[in-house]
Amino acid sequence: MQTSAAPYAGGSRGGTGLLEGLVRVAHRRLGPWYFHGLVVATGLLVVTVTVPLQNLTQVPLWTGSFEGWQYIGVFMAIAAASGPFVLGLVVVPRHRALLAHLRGQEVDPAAVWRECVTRLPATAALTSLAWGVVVVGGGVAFVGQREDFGVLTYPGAYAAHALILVGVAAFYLMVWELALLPITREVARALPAGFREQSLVTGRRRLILLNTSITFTVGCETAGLSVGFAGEHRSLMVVLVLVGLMTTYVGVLLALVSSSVTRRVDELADALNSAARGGAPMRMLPTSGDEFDSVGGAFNTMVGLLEDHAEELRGSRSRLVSVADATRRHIERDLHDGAQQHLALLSMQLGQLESTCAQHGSVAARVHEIRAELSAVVAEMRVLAHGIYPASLEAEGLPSALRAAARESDVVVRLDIAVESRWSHPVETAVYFGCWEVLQRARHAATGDATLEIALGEHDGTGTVELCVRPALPAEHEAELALFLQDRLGAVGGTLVTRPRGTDVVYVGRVPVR
Amino acid sequence: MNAATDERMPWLDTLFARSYARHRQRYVELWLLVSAFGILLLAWPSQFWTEHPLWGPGGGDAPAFLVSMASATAIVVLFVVPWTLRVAFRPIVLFLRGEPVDPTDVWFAAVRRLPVAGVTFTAAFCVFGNIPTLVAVGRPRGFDGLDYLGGWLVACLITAAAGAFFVLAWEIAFRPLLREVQPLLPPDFDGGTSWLTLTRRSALASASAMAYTGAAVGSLVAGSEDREHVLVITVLATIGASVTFGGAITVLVSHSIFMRLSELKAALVRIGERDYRVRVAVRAGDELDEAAASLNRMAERLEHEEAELRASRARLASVADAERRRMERDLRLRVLARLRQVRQDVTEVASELPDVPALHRLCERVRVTTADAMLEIHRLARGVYPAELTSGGLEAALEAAGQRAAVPVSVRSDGVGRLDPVHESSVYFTCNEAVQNAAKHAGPDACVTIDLARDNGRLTFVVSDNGQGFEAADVGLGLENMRDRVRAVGGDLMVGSAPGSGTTVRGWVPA
Repeated sequence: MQTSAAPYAGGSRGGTGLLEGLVRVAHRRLGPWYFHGLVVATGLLVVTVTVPLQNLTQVPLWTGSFEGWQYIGVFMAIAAASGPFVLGLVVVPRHRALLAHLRGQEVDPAAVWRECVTRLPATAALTSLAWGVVVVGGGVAFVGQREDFGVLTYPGAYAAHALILVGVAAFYLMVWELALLPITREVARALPAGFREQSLVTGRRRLILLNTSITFTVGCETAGLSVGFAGEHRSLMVVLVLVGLMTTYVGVLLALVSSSVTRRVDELADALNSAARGGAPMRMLPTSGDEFDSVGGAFNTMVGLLEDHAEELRGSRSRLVSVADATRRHIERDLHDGAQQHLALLSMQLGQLESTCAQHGSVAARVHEIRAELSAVVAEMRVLAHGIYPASLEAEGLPSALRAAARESDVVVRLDIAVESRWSHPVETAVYFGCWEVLQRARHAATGDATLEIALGEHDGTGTVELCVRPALPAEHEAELALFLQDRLGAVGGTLVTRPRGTDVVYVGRVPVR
Repeated sequence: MNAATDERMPWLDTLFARSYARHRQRYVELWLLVSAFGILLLAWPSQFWTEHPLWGPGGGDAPAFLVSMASATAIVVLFVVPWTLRVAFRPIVLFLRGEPVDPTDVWFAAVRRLPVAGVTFTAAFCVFGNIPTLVAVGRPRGFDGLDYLGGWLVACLITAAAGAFFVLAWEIAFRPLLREVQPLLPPDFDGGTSWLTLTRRSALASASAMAYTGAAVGSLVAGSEDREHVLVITVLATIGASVTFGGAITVLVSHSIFMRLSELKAALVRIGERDYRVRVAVRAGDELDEAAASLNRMAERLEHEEAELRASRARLASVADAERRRMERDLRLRVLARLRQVRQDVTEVASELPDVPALHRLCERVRVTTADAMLEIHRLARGVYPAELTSGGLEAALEAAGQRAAVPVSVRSDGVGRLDPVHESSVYFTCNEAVQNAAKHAGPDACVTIDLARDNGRLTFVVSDNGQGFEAADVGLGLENMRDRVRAVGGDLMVGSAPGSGTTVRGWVPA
C-alpha cells in the first residue's frame, strides 16, 4: 500500500473563501518568514483594532458614559509595549519545529503537525493568560485608580474585560488554525500511515468554545454599550447595538465554521466520491485532530482493508487459473510421456508384424488396416494433447503455439504477430487459451467458412490481443465468449473491451506482459 | 440497514430513542406536551422577567404578566398544538400510529417542514404574544412609539432564539423516526437541498445564543444605575446566559452536525469489515448529504465489484472443471474406444494367424502393448476426471479413489446424494488432495477417514488422519490451492493440525 503515491482529498477544490485565498497568497509570498509575518500581523491587528474596539465598549462600564476616551489610548499603549514580549516569549518558543520547517530544515513532520494542530489551543490559552495579566491587569489598574474603583469594581471590570478576552482568543485561535492549514497539509503528507492524534479542541468542543466565547464577548459588550446609551429609547438602543454586534460576528463565524466544518465535509465527500467512481484511491489528511480526522482515518483504514481484500480475491482467482493451467500441462506431459510412447511402440510392433507376415496376404492386409487405424488414433491423440496444452507454448512461445493451433484447425486463421520478445508464462497461457476458445467456438458455431483474425501487439509493457471472427458468432456465443475472455485475461491482470467493426465484433484484450 | 443503529449513542440520542421505543404511538404528542410546558413554564416567564428591567420603572406588572401568560397559553392551546398535530406533523402522527402513509410525506414533515413550523410558531409568539405583553407593560409606563418598537424588537430577539432552540431540539427528536423511515423511501428519492445547511445551522445557533445573551444582559444592566452593580450583573448574567442557553443550543447544533459524522464513520468501519449492505441516511439536504450519497454509491460499487470478482472466480473454476470433464470424455470416447477396436482387431488377427510361432509371439506383444496403452490412458483419464464422479456421485468416486490410495481410507457418509458437478468435483479433488497429502506426510501407519454430511444447505466434508501432524504454521501452497478451489464455489476450508495429533481438513460447499 503506497500511501505517499495516493492523491489526497480536497486538493481539487482549493480554498473558496476570502480568508483561505489570503492565507495562500501570504504563505507563497512570505515563504520562510510566514510564521513571523503571522505573529506581527496578529500583533498589529490586536493593537490597532481589537484593543480599541474592546475598550470602546467597556468605557461606559467604567465611567458611566462615553467619556474617558483617553483610556483606550492607555490600553493601546500598554498593548503596543507589551505585545512584542508576550507574543515573542510565549508564541515563538512554542513553535520552533514549525519555524525550522519553514526555513527548510529537516524536522520530524509529526512535531510540526503537533505544533500546527494540537499545540495551538494551549498556545492561545497561555498567550491570553499572559495578555490578561499584563495588558488587561495593567490597564484596569490604571483606570481603576483614576476612576476611584471600589472593592467590587476592580474584579468586576477585570472579569468583564477577561470574558471579552476569551472571545478574542478563540477568534484568533481559529484564524491561526486556518492560517497554518497549508503547512499542516504539507506535513500531513509526510506523516506515517497510521498517524492519529487527538486534539483537545475537537469539533464539538470547537463549536462550544466558539459559541461560548462569542456570547461572552457579545454579553459584555452589549452591557457596556447599553449603559453608554442609557436614556431615552434604551431598549431600541439595545436592539441596535445587539444587531450590529451580531451581524459583525455572525459573518466572521460563518467564515470560521465553514473553514473548519464545511471544508472537511467537502474533503470527505471528495474522497468518498473518488472511491465511488472507482478511481485511484484517495487518502484523507489529518489536519485538525478532531472528529473529521477520525472519520478520515476510518476512511483510510477502510481503503487499505478493501485493497488488501480485493488483492486477496484477485490473487485467489489467478492462483486458481494457474493451478488449472499447470494441471493441463501436467496432463499433456503425462499423455506425451506415457500414452503416446505406448502408442509409438505399438505402431512399431504392428509394423514389425506387418513386415513379418508379408507373405500371408490376407493377414498382412488386416494388419495394415489396423496400422492405419492406429495412426488415426495417434493423430487424434496429438490433436487432443495439443488442445489440452500445446507443448510448443512453453518451449517456443505464444506465436508458434498459435501457428500450430492454426495449422491443425479447419477454421482459416489469419495471424498478425507484432511481438518480438516472450511474455510472462501465465500471460502467454491466458492469451493462448483465450484464442483457443475463440477458435473452438468458431469451429462449432460459425456457419459456413469461418475466418478468425488474431493480432498480437505490444506497447509500453502492455500486450494487446485483438480477436475477430467472421462471419460473426451467434449472439449467445458472443456474450459467453466476452465473459470468458474477461475472466481469463482478468486473472492475469488484464482487461477486455469489445468493439464493433462493421458487422463484426472485435475483442480487444490488454495484458501486462512483464 | 442503518449505520447508527448499533452505535453507542450520546445521552441526548439515548433519551429520544428510549422515549421513541416506549411511547411510539404518542411520541409527537409527548414531546409536544414537554415543549408546551417548557414554553409556558420556563421560556415565556423568564423572557418577561428578563425584559422587565429594560422597560424601566412603572406599576401594573402583575396584570401585565397575566396578560402575557394568557396570550402565550392561548397561542399554545389554540394554534401550536392543533396545527402541529392536525397539519404540520400529521403524516408523522399517522405513521407512528401504524396507519398507511407515504413515507415521503413523513420525511418531508420531519425534515423540511420542521424549520417552517419553527419559523411560523416564532412569528405567532412575536405577534400574538409579544405585542399584547408590550401593550400591557407600556401603557402604565407611558411608552411612546419608539419605546414600543424597541421593546418589541428585544422581545422578538429572545423569542427567535428560543424558536431556534426548539427547532434544533426537535431535529434530534425526529432522528429515531427518520432512521425508521429512511429504508422505506423510494430509491430515487430526492429530498432537494434544504435551506438549513450545516454552516447556516451553526450560524443560527450562534446568532441565537448571541441574541439571547445580549438581550438578557443589556436588559438586566438597565435595571441598575450603580457602577458596581452593573459590572457584577454584566459578568454574572453573561456567564449565566452563555452557559445555560448558549450551552444548550450549542450542544444541540454540534450534536446535529457531529452525530451524522459519527454515522459516516461507523459506516466506513463496517464497510472496511466488508459489510457492504451498510447505507447511511441521506436526508437533511445539507453538505453532509453529498458525502453520505457518495458513501452509499461507494458501498454499492464495492458490493458490485466484489460480486463480480467472486463470479469471475466461480466461472473460471467451473470452466476449468468443464474442461477436465471434456478431456476425460475425449480420452474415453475418441482414444480409448478406438484403441479397444484396435485390440479387438488384433485378437481377431491372432486367431487367423498361420501357425508360425514368431508371428504369434509378435502378435502377443502387440496385444500386451495395446493393453498397456489402454491401461495407461484409462489411468490418465481417471486422474483427469473420475468416471465414478459422473456416474455414481461423490461417495462412489471417493470410495474408488480411496481404494487406489497409498493409505487405508474409509469413507463415512449418511447419503449425501448428488450435487452440482462443479461442487462435486471441488469436494472430490480437495478430498483427494488431502488424502494424498496424508499419504505423503502422515507417516507409515496412518489411516484416513473422510466424513461427508449434508444439512442446512451445506455439504460438509472432513478429511482426518491419525498421523504425525505438523505445525499449523506450515500450511503450504497445496492447502492454499485447496482453499481457493473451495472458496471459488462459495464454500470455505480450514486445516487443523498439531504435531502428534494428526491433521484435519474441514470444509464445506453450498449444496
